[in-house]
Amino acid sequence: MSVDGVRQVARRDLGNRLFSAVLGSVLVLFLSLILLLLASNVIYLSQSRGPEGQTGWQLLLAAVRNPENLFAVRLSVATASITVLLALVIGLPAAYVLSRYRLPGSGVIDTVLDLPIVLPPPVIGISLLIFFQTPAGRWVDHITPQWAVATSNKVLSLLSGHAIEDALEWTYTTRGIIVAQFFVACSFGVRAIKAAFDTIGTRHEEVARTLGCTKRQAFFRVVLPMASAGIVAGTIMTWARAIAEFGPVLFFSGATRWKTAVLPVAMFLSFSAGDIEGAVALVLIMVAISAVTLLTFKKLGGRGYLW
Amino acid sequence: MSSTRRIVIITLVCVAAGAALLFVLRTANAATTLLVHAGAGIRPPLDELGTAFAKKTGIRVDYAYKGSGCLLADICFSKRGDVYIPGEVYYVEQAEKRGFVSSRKVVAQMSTVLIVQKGNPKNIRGVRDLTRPGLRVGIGDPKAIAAGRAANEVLVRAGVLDAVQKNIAMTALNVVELGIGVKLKHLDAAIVWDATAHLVRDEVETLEIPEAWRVDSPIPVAVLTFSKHRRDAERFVDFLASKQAREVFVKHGYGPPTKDTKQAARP
Repeated sequence: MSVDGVRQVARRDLGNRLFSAVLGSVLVLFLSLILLLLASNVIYLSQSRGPEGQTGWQLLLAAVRNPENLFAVRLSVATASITVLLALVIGLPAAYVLSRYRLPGSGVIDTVLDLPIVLPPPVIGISLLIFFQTPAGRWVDHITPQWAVATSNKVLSLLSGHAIEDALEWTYTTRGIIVAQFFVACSFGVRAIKAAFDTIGTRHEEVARTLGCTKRQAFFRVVLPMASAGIVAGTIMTWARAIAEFGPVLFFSGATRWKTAVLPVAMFLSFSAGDIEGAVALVLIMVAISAVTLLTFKKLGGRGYLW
Repeated sequence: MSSTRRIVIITLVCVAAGAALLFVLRTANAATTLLVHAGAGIRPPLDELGTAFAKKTGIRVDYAYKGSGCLLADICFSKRGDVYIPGEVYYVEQAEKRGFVSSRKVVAQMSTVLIVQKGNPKNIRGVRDLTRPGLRVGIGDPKAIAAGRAANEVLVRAGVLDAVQKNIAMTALNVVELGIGVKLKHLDAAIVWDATAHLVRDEVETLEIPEAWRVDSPIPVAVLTFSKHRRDAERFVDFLASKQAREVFVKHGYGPPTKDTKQAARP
C-alpha cells in the first residue's frame, strides 16, 4: 500500500471515530439533562428549611410519613393494579386477535386503538364527564348495582387504608379513577402484549395444531407460556402508565383529598397549596416507583418494542 | 455557473436572509409584551380587557392562567412576569411579604353564591339545605384555591361545615370545574363565585347567600418588582381600574370594588 493509501485509511478511521464520538456525546448530553432535572429536586430539598428550622431531609421524611401522602401511594398502587387487571382481561384477547388475524380495515382499527395514547390527557377526562351526562351514561349509573358499589367501596377502603364511601354515580368517585386510567392503560397494554405475540411468531402453534391440539389448547399450552415473559413485561409497563395518569383523573374524579388524590393529583394539590417540599417529596416517591418498575421490566426481558 | 459566481450569490442570499431576520426580530421586540400571572377563574373579562388594552396601546398582554396559589408558587420559583392577578387579596399579601409587589389596586369584586341544577330538582333553598343526606355538593379545595377557602368560610358562618362534609362529592382545583359539574348534572349544588355562576348562567340556577354568611373577595392587581416593563405594567393596571374596564367586569358578572369588604378568615 502506498503512503497516501495509508494516510487515507488513517484519516477515514479518524473520521469514523469522530462520527461515533459526536453521536455518543449527544446521547450523554441528553442523559445528563434528564439526571440533572431529577437531581435538582434532591438539591432543592437538601437546601430548603422548614418553618421550624427542619432540614430538607427531615421535611422529606415528614412528607413520606404524612398520612395523606401515604394514602396517595396506597391509592395509586391499588387503582393502577386493578386497572392493569382489567386491561389484561381486554388486552390479552384483543392483542392475540390483532397479532394473528388479518382484519379488514386494520389501519382504522390500529388508529382507534392508539388514539387514547396520543390524545392529550384531558380529552379522555372531559369525554368521560360528557358521556356520563348523556342518557347512555345515566343508564350506566342507573344499572350499577348497589352491591357492586358497596364491594368496590370496601375493596378500595381496604387497599387505600381510608374509608371510601362513594355513591351510585360514577363521576367524582374513587372507583372512577380506574375508569379514567383504563383507556390509556388498555390501549398501551394491547400494544405491548401484541408485540409479545408478534415476536414468537405462528410456527409453534401451527405445529401444535398439526399434532392434534385445538385452537384453544394451542393458545393456552403453547402461545401463552411462550409469550409469558413478554406479557409480564408489557403488563408492568401498562401499570407504570396507569399509575402516572393525571389528566383524566383530574377531570373525571376531581382532586378531592382522602378520596381521589392519587400520586400525580396529590403532587398538584401540594403544589397548589404552596407546599413545595411536600410536592417534591411526592415527586421523588414517583421517580422511585417508576425507576423500580422500569428496572423490573428490563430484568424480565422487556425491550423498547412498545412502539 | 462558475464557482466564484455561486459563492457571490450564496453570500448575497445569506446577507439578505440575515437582514430580513434582524428586521423581523427588531419589529417583534419593538412592541412590549407583558406577562400576566392571572387566576384561571377571571379569564373571560381579562381576555377581553387584554385585547382592548393591546388595541389601545400596542402593548401585548400574555396571560398565564392557573389557580391562585399555584401562581404564587410559580412566581416564587421563576421570579418572572410583570403583573399578578390572583382571585384574592390573600395571595397578593403573600407575594408582598416576599417583596415581589411594587404597587397594587383593587379592580373588581367577587361574591360567593350557591348554584343548583336547572329547575332545582332537589329543591335546595339555601346553604343549610346542603346538609340533607344524599346530596352531591362541590366546593373548591380549601387549601389550594380562593373559591375553596371562601366556600369553607361560608359553611363555617352558616354553622354547617361538619354536617356538609359527608355530602362533599368533589373538591376542585379550578372553580369553573364546579360550574361545569352542576351544569352537567354530576353535582346537585356547589358554592362558587357569582362570576363563575355567570359563566354557566343558562344551565344552572343561582341562589344568593345571605349577607351574614356571604364572603366577598376583592380582585387585586399587583405590579411585580421583577417586571422589566414597570411603566407599561402600571399602565395596564390603571387600565384595569378604569371605568371602561369596570363595565367589562360587570358584564361578566363581577361586582364593582367596595371599600368595606368582609374578608374570609385566614388559616
